[in-house]
Amino acid sequence: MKKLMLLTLVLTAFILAPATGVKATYRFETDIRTSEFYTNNVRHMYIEGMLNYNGDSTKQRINYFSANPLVHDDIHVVVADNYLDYSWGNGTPFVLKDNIHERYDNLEVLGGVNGDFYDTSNGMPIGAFIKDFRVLHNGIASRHIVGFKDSGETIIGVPEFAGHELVIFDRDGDIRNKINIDGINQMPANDEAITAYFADSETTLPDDVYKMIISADLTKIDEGGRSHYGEGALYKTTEAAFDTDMIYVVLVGEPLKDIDYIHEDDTLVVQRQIVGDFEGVRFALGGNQMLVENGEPTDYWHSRPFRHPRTAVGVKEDGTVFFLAVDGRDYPEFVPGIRLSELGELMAELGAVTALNLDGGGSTGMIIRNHDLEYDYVNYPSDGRVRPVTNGAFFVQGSLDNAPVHLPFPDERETLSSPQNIFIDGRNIVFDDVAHASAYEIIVNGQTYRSLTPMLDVDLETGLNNISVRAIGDYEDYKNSDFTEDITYTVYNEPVKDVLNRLKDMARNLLSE
Amino acid sequence: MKRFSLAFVLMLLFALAACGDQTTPDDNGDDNGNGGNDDDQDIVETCEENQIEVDGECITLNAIEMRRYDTFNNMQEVNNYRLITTIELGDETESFTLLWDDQITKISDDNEDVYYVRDGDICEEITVQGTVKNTVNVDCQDQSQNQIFYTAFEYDWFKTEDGTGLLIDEHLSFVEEALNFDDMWALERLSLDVSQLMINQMVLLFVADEETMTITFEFEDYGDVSITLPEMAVSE
Repeated sequence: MKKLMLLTLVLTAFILAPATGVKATYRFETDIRTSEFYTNNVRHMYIEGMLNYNGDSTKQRINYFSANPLVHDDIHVVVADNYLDYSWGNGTPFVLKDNIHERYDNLEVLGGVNGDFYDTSNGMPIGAFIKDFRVLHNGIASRHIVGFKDSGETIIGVPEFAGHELVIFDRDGDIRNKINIDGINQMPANDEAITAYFADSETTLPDDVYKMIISADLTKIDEGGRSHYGEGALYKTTEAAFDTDMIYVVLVGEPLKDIDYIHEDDTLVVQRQIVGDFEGVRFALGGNQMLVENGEPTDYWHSRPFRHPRTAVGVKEDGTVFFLAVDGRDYPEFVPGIRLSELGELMAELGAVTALNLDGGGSTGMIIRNHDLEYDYVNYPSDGRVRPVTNGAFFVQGSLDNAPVHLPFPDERETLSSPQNIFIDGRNIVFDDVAHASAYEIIVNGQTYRSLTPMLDVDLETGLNNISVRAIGDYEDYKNSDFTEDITYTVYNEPVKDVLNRLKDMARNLLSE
Repeated sequence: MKRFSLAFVLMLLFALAACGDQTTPDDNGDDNGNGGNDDDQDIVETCEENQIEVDGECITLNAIEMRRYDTFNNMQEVNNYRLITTIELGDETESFTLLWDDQITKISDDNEDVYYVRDGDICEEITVQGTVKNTVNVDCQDQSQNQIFYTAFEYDWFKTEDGTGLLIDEHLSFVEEALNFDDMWALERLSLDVSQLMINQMVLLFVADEETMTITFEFEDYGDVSITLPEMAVSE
């Protein structure tokens, strides 16, 4: 309680402190109902107070949620969606959170907010959307986005895109090769060009043209024709006529004849090629107005009088990322919402060096995991219900999958031999060392573990366990080995284990003199 | 009075005659005893075939008791058999096989084969999984538990119900202690089947709360088991 009061005082003093270089008429006074929740290196604060700005005094109710992925290696920001395989879609923050848990075994969602503005007719985001290095949507040019890198760095700005590209991922998610795509829904201009056709071309590709057909697990098409994304496995190559369809992406061009290195379990992705500051960003989603630049509130929005519930993301000097969800539209009490100019002032006061306005109004939503590991919707949804949104950004705890490595091309590396003589000794899975292996990957019942030595200490599940192992190369001279055939190992429950142990005692004692 | 005296003498003779014929019906009501009576035999020096000597005295056993007595004696002399152990716990059934050929023992389950070979006071424990062999030394002289509990059985620890020998309640705790399972498991019943003066099968019923676990020990191939040690890759 003392800590809470002290924090309240500090926060009040901090917020009341005269801001240098900002509007002198800006004041925010917190009242005593400020609360704080800090765990797992994330901080949530609930703040109520009066905001005085240019003579207007309004009651504000604010949820602040922050973490520093630059400092804490186990904290990351990921984006989530609820898109359908061949179209868009939306979901509440709870649904988006569930989708993160479903997609990533080793990440726990700590909380997050709604993300980009979107087309309410189909859920398509307005800005770019990047998930796991895949540019699912490039969005409207000049639209700002916030991107999250594996290093913990967060950047806000306008992404730059080159043309399209075909990226060939191997089964490990590493990149075999990238090939430029010279146009979408159009024939190659010459014998060196490759183009890609999507369903929105609504055409029949003629015969006598060499085609590589990708059986698409998902496609994302902007109805305005600005953005195309497709992902799947190689279906076939053909010169026969072919009808485009949403479940295919068809590559066309003579150079495709030379591509003979695609494996059946490779994943082929056709996407916009991102360049510039956002190259290498794992996750990104769009927003709209820049609220803070270089530590100063922007002044572009002073003419906007509208008060709404709003969501914003800010980045501090030390790398801390924070989300703000501001209630409004007098739901359920007299909180009118906040103007963009006021929000910019507030974000700057809270330490943002850069800050971006995300979707607001009824979309404003923040969920946070509580001490009981359940999720609370901490703000008041102005619709009176939780609104499904296009995407969202979430703090998670855990380890991200390895980033894709760009493999040598052409790939002439030696393939390592698979580990031999797998032996399970209690909790330990041990096997023979493989020369030149840099690590080992062990799959136990579908869960992948990595070990630098030829053994793994793992808590096997009671019942039947399926185990396979492979050696990992060095990415330069040696390729990963194939996985071994599955071996099975039964872990007995305690009573059965007791009986077996007693039989082993007996087997020894039978030999005693 | 004369008539009374005569009757008394006849009863005495009858009683003495009955003492000489040690045959008693077995638990099934059959009289399988030899019934012989050697009037010249000194009772203490040599017991009858249906008798056993206990503390210098001959104790007469019925046929079933004698069969158990002989069986338990035989089991102490055994050094070669196959023991199949089946555990039924809820819907789960697991089975393990123990082989013993005097010099070597071997336990097999779905995961592995484990061999024990004696070398002085030390046993080699050789575990074989697939093509991999792992050898460690273990103590062969663990006397802390009497795991070979059946060798301690006595003929009078059992009663017979419906032709099956049942360990009487006061001896259930001996087996419980010998097996040393989790305290939650109480041995409710141990039944014994004998064939050709060797244990054929033991069925142990354990109970814990509302769970039951049935362990069946089936002894087979007395004297016919031969174990060959594996030759294969050695796990590092």
